Amino acid sequence: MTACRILTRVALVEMLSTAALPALLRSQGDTLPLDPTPVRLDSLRRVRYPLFYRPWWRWWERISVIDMMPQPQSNDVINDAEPNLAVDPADPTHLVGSAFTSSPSGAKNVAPVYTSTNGGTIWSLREIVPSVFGSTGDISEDFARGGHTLYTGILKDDFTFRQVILRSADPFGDGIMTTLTDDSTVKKDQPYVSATTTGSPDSDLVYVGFNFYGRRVPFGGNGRTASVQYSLDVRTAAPPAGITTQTLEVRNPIDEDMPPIRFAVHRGGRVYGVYYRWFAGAIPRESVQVVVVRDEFFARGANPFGALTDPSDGLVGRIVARGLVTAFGVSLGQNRLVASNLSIAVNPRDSSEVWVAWADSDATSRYTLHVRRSVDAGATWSTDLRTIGTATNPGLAINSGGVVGFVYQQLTGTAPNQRWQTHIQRTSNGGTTWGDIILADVPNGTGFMGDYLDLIAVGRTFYGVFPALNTPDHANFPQGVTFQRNVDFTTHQVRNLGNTANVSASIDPFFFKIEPPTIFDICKLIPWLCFPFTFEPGKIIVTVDTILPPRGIDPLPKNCTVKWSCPGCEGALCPGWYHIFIDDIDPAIWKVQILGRRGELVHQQLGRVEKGIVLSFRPSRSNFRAKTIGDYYLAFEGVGRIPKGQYVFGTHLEVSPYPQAQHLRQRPQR
Amino acid sequence: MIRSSKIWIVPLAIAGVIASYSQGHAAQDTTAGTAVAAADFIFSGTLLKAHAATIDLDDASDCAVVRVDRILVGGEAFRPLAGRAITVRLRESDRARDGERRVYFTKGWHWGEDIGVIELNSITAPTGPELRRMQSDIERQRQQQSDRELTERLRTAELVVMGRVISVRRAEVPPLPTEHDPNWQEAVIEVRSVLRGGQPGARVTILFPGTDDPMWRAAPKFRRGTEGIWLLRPLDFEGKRLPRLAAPYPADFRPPSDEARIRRLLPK
Repeated sequence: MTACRILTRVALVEMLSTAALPALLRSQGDTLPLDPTPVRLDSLRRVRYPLFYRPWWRWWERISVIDMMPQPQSNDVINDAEPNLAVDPADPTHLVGSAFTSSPSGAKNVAPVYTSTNGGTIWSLREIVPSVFGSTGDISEDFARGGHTLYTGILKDDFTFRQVILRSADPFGDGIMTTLTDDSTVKKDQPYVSATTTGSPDSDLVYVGFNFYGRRVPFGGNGRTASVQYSLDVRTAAPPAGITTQTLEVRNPIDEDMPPIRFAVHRGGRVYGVYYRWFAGAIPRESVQVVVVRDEFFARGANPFGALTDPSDGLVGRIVARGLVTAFGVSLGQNRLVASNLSIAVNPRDSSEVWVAWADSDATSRYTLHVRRSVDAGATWSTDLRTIGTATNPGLAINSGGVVGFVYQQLTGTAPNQRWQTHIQRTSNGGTTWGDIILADVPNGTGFMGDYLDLIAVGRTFYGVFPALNTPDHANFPQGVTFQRNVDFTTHQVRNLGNTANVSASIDPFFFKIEPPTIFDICKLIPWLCFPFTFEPGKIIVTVDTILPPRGIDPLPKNCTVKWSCPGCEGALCPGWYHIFIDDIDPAIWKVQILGRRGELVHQQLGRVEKGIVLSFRPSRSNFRAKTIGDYYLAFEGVGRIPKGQYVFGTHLEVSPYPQAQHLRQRPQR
Repeated sequence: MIRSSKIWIVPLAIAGVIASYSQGHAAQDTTAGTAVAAADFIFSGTLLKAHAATIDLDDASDCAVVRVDRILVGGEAFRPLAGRAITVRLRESDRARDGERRVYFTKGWHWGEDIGVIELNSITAPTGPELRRMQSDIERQRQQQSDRELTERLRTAELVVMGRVISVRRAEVPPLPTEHDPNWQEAVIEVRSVLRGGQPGARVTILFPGTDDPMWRAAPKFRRGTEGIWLLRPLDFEGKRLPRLAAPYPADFRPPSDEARIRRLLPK
């Protein structure tokens, strides 16, 4: 039976991936004249990691790669390197990114972060980070699991090791981030933020791994510099919001621990940290160990991060690998190496399963990445499950399905024709086999790419950011790419703000997302799995005639021809806010959303009104068409089982210059 | 920001005028003319729609859509905004009226498909020649502010020289075990003239950070052939005095065209 099921699925996938696919790509309601632009399914790919039992649509996934630099920054030619990323787990349409990007307005006292309110499809810069010269040194950020609060760790860009921890309850608003700690008198380095939420009522916890540089042996310290600043209740408390400092290192390094200290936090309370201990040797070839620490319950106890000891000496901190040599102050291609390549991830389904990745050098200074895992909460470790030569910037994450993602950047070829390939590899069988996707394959340019990138899993979706040369060439981005800044794919040139001249190619942060197929993909690939819509003025009629989960997508332009009267763009705000009222619908039974032209979730507001619901959104200017709104879809999904039958919902459209709350306040009573 | 019908009174200093329009407002850093110095973008604009925004906000009640009619002060990034409708986060949105024309003193905020700025202050916009005179006054006030800052840099400089870099080499300063090692470089400057300080001879050797690490991004970098004016000072780094003078701050390296201005501002 199982074999038959697998064979059936294989056949279905093969059918979809070959000649039969175009025939299935029929949009619904094709008899009506207005249709969105042709469906873009070019981001849909076959899953490239080992497959086990899962619904058929899990055999496909959507891959998006986007240059985050906004169009107004088209003159940017600096290297916006060392990117980082935060996804709000409570609302994954809201993301914040960072890189070494300067204030667009030229202001000195603020630096920007990248923000997206539509799941990463469109990025903007918001100037909310306090600064000295308009940018930052190291910067990283994370959202807690709930509450939408963003936490950021930075080094000020004023030639010092001045570490600052920041908080914003609304990074999509207009306020400068709140400074929680500002260490201007001691030297700290490479703050790397991890946050979570726990308890009832809930509270946020933040763990900022950092290298306590001022405690180096040459400065009179003991060299135990691997440290963490953390708080167990940081969301709303006044600065310093309970942030305290804890030294992780208990042994005696020869000089200091290396710069990266990373954390992985499990929602159940286990917190893991990893760092390099420098125990012998000198720059540029230091002898180090990779050390993992653990706390059993959010570091609330009397001996924080003391749960793991090493059998060799009984001291806190399990030595995962010893006798390694890192490279410091030398280069791999265009990128400097500074012993900053560490990553750690914990399985959200099993807090005892933890993975680490690190880099080291062999006798010829080849830089090699290693990946290992522990299934007993760090007590014992596997041998290398993955080794990647001439590579840097590892990032690990594990999604809710237990799939491990491993992103890295590898230098290929020989000078002067070397290239940087950015890979994401995944395994769902403990590292026995790996699927590989190349996200970017760009020339080795000039300037450094940075000491880290980022990979995050929220639900089943992987989100990431990597630095890469921004030459606009489709051959450089095998999964496709979208640029926001001005570029010319014909001449492979980056263009200036006025689109009147070329500018130099440089390093930009590239966002990527790998997600399961959406309702959009399902309805486009297999229309018979989705219900059709009947078109009548002022009504949405849904016919559920199958026992399958009811779902359907309804193009907005067609609604404009029959159901609604869609105005043009005569007002002060073009396009305005579109408010779609749907009467007699229960949002507890029907999940209704607005999707973009590729099926992506767009930023929208769902509100309850007396007769039903109202969905509000503002079309993107690049996807707006007067009188028809643009290439958007209404998606309907039944939550749970919905009886067969015909469901009729009244509907009308209102357009105004106001977001939902204001619109509902100001509209005339109907 | 009392929205009276007072017209622009040209002879008054900008600060005083803004202050007169700002009575009763508590914001400490945006009254009494500080907005002129703090603003990155000053423009006259027409308020097209109050309580609305061109950018994606869940609540636009304190914003307005404003058409940029004339840019009075704005760097490169702001120049394409002339004629465009942008979002202004207002200080007092409840007094905003559609169609009114004001001069907005703003700072940058949102850069994406659409642009958003934050109002520090605003006044009723004058028209015609008065607007041009207002622009001149604003530019003069900002120049005075810039002069004050430069004067302070000059006052604290040990040596100010004008010249050209004739060679660059790595300095004999040991590298540090950090990714933020400045990678100190030595630049030999062929001195054309000494504007302040003792006579250093025909050449002076200075230190500058050669790294492209972001901690040092703001520090000026030099190469052979670089010409300019250096405001040099001793620098402590890692608890020790560096062996040579340096000019690590952006304001400490000026183009040759600044010579007359610097001579004018040098402490007597």
